[in-house]
Amino acid sequence: MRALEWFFVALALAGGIPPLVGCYQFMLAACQRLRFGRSIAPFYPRVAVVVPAWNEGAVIARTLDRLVELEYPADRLRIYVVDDASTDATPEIVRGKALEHPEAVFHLRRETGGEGKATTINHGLRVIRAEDWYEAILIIDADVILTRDALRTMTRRLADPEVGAVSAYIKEGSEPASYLNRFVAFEYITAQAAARRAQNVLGVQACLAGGSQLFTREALEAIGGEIDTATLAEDTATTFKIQLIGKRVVFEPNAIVWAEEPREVEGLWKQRLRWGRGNVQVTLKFRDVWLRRHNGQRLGGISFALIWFSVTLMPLFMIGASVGLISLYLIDRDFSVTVFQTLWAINLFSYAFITASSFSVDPETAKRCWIEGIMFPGLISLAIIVYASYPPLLSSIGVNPASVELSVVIVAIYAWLSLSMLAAFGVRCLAKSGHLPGLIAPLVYIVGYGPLLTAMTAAAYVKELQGAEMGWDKTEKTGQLGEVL
Amino acid sequence: MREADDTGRPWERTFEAELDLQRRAESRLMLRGATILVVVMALVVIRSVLL
Repeated sequence: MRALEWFFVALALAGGIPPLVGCYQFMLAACQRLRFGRSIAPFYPRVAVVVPAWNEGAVIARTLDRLVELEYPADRLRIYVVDDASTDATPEIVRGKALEHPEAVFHLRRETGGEGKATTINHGLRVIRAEDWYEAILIIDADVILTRDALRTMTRRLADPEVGAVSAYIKEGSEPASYLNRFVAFEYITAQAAARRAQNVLGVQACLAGGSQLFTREALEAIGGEIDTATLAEDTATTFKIQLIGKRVVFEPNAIVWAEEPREVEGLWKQRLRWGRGNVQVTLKFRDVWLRRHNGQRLGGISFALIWFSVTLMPLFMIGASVGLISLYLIDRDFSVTVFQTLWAINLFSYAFITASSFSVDPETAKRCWIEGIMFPGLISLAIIVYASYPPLLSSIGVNPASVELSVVIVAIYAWLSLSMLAAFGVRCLAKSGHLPGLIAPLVYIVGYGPLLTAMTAAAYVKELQGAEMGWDKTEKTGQLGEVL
Repeated sequence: MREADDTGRPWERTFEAELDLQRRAESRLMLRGATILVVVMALVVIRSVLL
């Protein structure tokens, strides 16, 4: 076989790397027991909670009510709401709560706002650091609801002086939940409960969940006392910085924090575009870290690079797989079938393993969203998995394998990993246009939530290459966190 | 490790029991993970043999 053909084989099979890395993460996640429980003890540092808020009138009262109810020594907890020049009822509500709990709730008002979440948080950090009271900082989103034991479950990790920061498990809790909320709920099992457990085992974390992150004073002071403002992924950049000063960052799966995520495609698109661009910026900002353990310690490990790049480079893997398969089809049709079957056998194995493992990692959440878990890759991809597992299927239903029409179908199947991103982009355009709103949900199930996420990552590359303005598109919150209250 | 800060809070009385439950949950997760891996691999092998 010629070198060019080998190149296309490699390109096509590289499409199997992200799903295999997903399997690797789930295997590691299951091994957390081997490390669990070390260096955990009751520990109650003085915690200053920073709540950045811009027009959070619909949710802020409920968030503050829960914070003052936390199972935590009252004299060791202060809550600072950094009001970023809100124009709704937020200032009045927070002032009311501050009067109700004068020892616990503090209202910090910025008269000129709109500079983004990180800048708002840093305003709060400057005030808190000047008071010199705090021993740890908890940064949360204004709309999240911590379970009553969440903070003490997180602080007990700080009993280990090597730990510099702790991340909670953010769960989607909208009630009633839209179809998209259920997809996000399932996604968070894989992206948080499993992936971050795996990263605990590796001893390195990619990102503290922006919705709820706890830092020790020592770690915060060591990185300059401020949150990174140079990227759109301020939580990820801060996570990297803390690990680069030699402190550990850990994920605490038993600290549950409920969040309300976007209900519609357009809201999700804006949120993930911001995250995707942030990840591109972090990848470039920390370019000296990748695969260099002497520079980046555990951030420089091979496993961590595989996990990071299998997500951030997902669109390129998918495009490469399609290009490889179609090129092989044009060169050697029979051989292309073998490579196609191998790639989709990997997809079948990964899909079965990851889906079943997700149900096992968080059965309670999986009960709410099992259909979305099964439909995660989309109906078309599931059909391709079936076809790849049993190629004579088309012939058995009366389709002539030699027909021109079938060639077109086969090329479309080979190209689906890339076409699915275009299809997902089309769904987003339709959703944005406001036409045929009843079609959006069925289309997401058909095209797949996974391809929708990949399309958002691809769109983030494009925005970043265009050098688009780094606006802060705040996700709209309505306060629909039903069951957790 | 830093010294445990036992200030007699009501929830601290259940700390060990809570930790034990979480430890058991992690053990179950490991067992289920291994079972799922074996079952999925067995299915893949059966499929390869049958086709």
